[in-house]
Amino acid sequence: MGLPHVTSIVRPSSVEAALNLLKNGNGAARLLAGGVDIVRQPPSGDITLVDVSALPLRDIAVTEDGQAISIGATATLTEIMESKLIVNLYHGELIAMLGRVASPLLRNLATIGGSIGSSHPWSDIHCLLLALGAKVEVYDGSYRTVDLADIAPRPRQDQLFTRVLIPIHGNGTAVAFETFSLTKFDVAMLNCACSISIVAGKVVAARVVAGGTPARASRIHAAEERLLGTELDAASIQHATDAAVSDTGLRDDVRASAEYRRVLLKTGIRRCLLRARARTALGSKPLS
Amino acid sequence: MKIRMTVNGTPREMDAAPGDTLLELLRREGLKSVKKGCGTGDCGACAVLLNGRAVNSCLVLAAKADGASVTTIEGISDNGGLHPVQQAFLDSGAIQCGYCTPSMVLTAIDFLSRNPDPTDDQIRAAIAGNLCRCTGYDKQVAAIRDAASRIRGGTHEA
Ligand SMILES: Cc1cc2nc3c(=O)[nH]c(=O)nc-3n(C[C@H](O)[C@H](O)[C@H](O)COP(=O)(O)OP(=O)(O)OC[C@H]3O[C@@H](n4cnc5c(N)ncnc54)[C@H](O)[C@@H]3O)c2cc1C
Ligand code: FES
Ligand code: FES
Repeated sequence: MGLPHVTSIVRPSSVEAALNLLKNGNGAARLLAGGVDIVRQPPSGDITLVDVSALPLRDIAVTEDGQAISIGATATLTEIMESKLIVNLYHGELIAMLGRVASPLLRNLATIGGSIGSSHPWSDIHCLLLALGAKVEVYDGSYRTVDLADIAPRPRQDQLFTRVLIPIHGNGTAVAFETFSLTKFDVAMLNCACSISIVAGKVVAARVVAGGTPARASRIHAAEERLLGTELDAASIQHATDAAVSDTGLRDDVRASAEYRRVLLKTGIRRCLLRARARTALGSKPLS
Repeated sequence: MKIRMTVNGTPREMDAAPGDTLLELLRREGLKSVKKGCGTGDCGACAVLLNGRAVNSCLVLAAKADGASVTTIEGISDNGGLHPVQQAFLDSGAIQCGYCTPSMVLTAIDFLSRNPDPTDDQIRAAIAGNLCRCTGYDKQVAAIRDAASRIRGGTHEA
């Protein structure tokens, strides 16, 4: 028997109805999107599943103000990878990252909303979206937009995600992502991502993120500070990677030791910065 | 609860508990080509086409597939003959014990319908979620490459 504790599955036809079902479930209702996590590791105790996968929340489009790409919460990872709007976004880095997530079979099920809902510490999606400065549109009776970094990693009964908003930056901004796992299908021992904005040859904004440390992905502000105002030369990249390693609480777990993670983080951040640099106007200058 | 699905082209109504997986339901209905390996999304042996896309049926609740179209290996024959992907697996010697074969073939059908002229690397990436403990994958990659050229060369729609 699959999930004996699932007492019912309901399929609301609107976001409002989904929220009502979630709220009225007395704490025993959970959203079901792709189901990859919920079915694999169901919550204990009797639950009602609120299937949001058929809600009209699949669209991938440029927002009206042209500032962001909006991805509906129930778009599957495959649908995102096949979207013409995403293919060239950030030099194809988003597509490349999604291509490393799980397997094609699972990507046909897993949704972007469910990926944020689970927010595994090793989530590749969470790591890169943080570096991109993504925001999440949440419905809790009214619609509001929240920084991805402010989304708590636990299921809530009073809200659901409706869209993910990925800012569109100009040519001066580039991102890069790295993930390290034992096999391509395995989850990350560590992942990291950087976003760099260059104006007049200098770094004016930077985001440096590490996940699977083994904690959940977060920004490493000390590393970002080492990059601001620099020309992203060899010395500033070295300072940033050193700061990243000393400022991230790397620990042992079943996947990797803290010591190994230190090497991975150093290598990963350096690779990300070099790749991001090559994608900006600085790329034409040799690394001094 | 009643679940209505089109299974291999035939509309069906089936009984299922809310927590039943699609894998369990299909096997109970006699579709034994749908294999259980891990039950956790890791091996791919349970793959079926759900509205044309290959998915792990062990992680899909049957109720979620209500109203959907499901295809298993029993439903892909080409006017009673083998589907070109099946034929290519046979001709390439890509089958040993056969446990993974239905899922490999279905995954390849989904993949080739979107990527009719793949590289070997793309084929390997496409079957990354389908474990095979026998073949070492080389012959399966060759079979999918061969199937791609058969489908491109012929009139068959993958
Ligand atoms: C074998 C395997 C390998 C994997 N490998 C990787 C990997 O390499 N890299 C990686 O990053 N991830 C990996 N994953 C994780 C995978 O990406 C996520 O599990 C998946 O994306 C979850 O999406 P879902 O739609 O199936 O979520 P579900 O299982 O449906 O839901 C997950 C959680 O999110 C909540 N939720 C769903 N939708 C919403 C919504 N709209 N609003 C609010 N909450 C919501 C649910 O209630 C639940 O708590 C792997 C998973 C498996 C099983
Ligand atoms: S049985 Fe479904 S992936 Fe292994
Ligand atoms: S042929 Fe035996 S598992 Fe693949």
